[in-house]
Amino acid sequence: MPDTGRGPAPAPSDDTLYSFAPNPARAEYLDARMHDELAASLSHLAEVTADTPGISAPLTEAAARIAGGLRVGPEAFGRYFHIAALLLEDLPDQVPPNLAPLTAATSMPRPPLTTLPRGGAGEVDTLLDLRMGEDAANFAPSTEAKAADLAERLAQGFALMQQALPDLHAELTAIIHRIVAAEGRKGAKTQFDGASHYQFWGLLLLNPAFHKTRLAIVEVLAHEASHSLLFGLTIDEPLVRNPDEDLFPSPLRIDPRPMDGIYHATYVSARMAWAMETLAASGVLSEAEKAEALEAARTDRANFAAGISVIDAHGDLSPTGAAIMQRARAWVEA
Amino acid sequence: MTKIDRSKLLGFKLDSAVNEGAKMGAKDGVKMGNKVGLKAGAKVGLKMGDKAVAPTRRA
Repeated sequence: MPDTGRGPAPAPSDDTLYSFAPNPARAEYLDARMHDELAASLSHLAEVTADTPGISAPLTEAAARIAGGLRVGPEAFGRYFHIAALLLEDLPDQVPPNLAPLTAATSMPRPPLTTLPRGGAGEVDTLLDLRMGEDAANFAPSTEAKAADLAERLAQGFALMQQALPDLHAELTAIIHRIVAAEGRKGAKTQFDGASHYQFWGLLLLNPAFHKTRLAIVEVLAHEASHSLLFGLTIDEPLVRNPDEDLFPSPLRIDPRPMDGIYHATYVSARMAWAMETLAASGVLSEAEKAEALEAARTDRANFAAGISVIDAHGDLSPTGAAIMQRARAWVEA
Repeated sequence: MTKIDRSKLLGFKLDSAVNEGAKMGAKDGVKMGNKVGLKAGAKVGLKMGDKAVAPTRRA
């Protein structure tokens, strides 16, 4: 990594790092760590392409800016993954067209949280299509009007979260900086309601057709932010070591999933239960909202029970995966 | 271009950890690298909730 005088982010204790309860300091550390990793990865790609200065120099410069403290948006992470994949596939001739977008994505600090429609999200649209291939069709274009409507609901949900769940609000806003409103694939039997992707740190995809109340907004944000939290904790080793080819019943989806997906769904269910129960106890909900939150929490706890039984029976957890899930289980069973 | 060390790359290093398992024992490094490279997206990639159009289900 270029010497900028700025060292890597100091690691918090395991109890802070793997805390089940939201922890803003942990989120800020993970955001810093992801940026450190991005800078180091770009620097390594610059080293291996040193015989081609036209490729190496922009990579070195981007790495230096990030190592120097620049905080970038999901397009910088997505573009890195695309460049790295091309180089790993020994396709350096395809890298140059990606360098100007990388430079653009790493030249300015990421803007504050923004909600944009799929199809009007610029670089993120391009990169979702590049990185997800056919899966990108699951996230159909939306409109400015629907994105604006979603943004209004998000504002209500964030306000409720800030009032009643301040640590979750702080954790989430430390990590999430872009929301893309995307619609489901026309004619599909199922429609996505929310999504996040390891290769797009800071990005959430939400379907504006759902999440119509402030409570539903808090629930989906708690859900998706927990995926992002797990991404940030999955830097040095995977959460599970089960082969991807082995599929298991999921508590949250109708299709069987790899153990990594089961793990995510199970953990996310526990965090949703935490959010709904804490919200219900906060005194800021109406009686109807409180009843709805507690009903959602019952479902979330049932989903956790279904998922943890699959993990207990078949999961091959890494030390990181075990440390995280042990704390989630302790909260559920307390 | 010199050889890339996957263990130094965000995201791709996760497959390096998986590769330590006997299952992924290398017979053909290049082919395995390509295959695992494509897998990287799936391993820790998309996390998507969904709802059935009818009846509605929580995801």
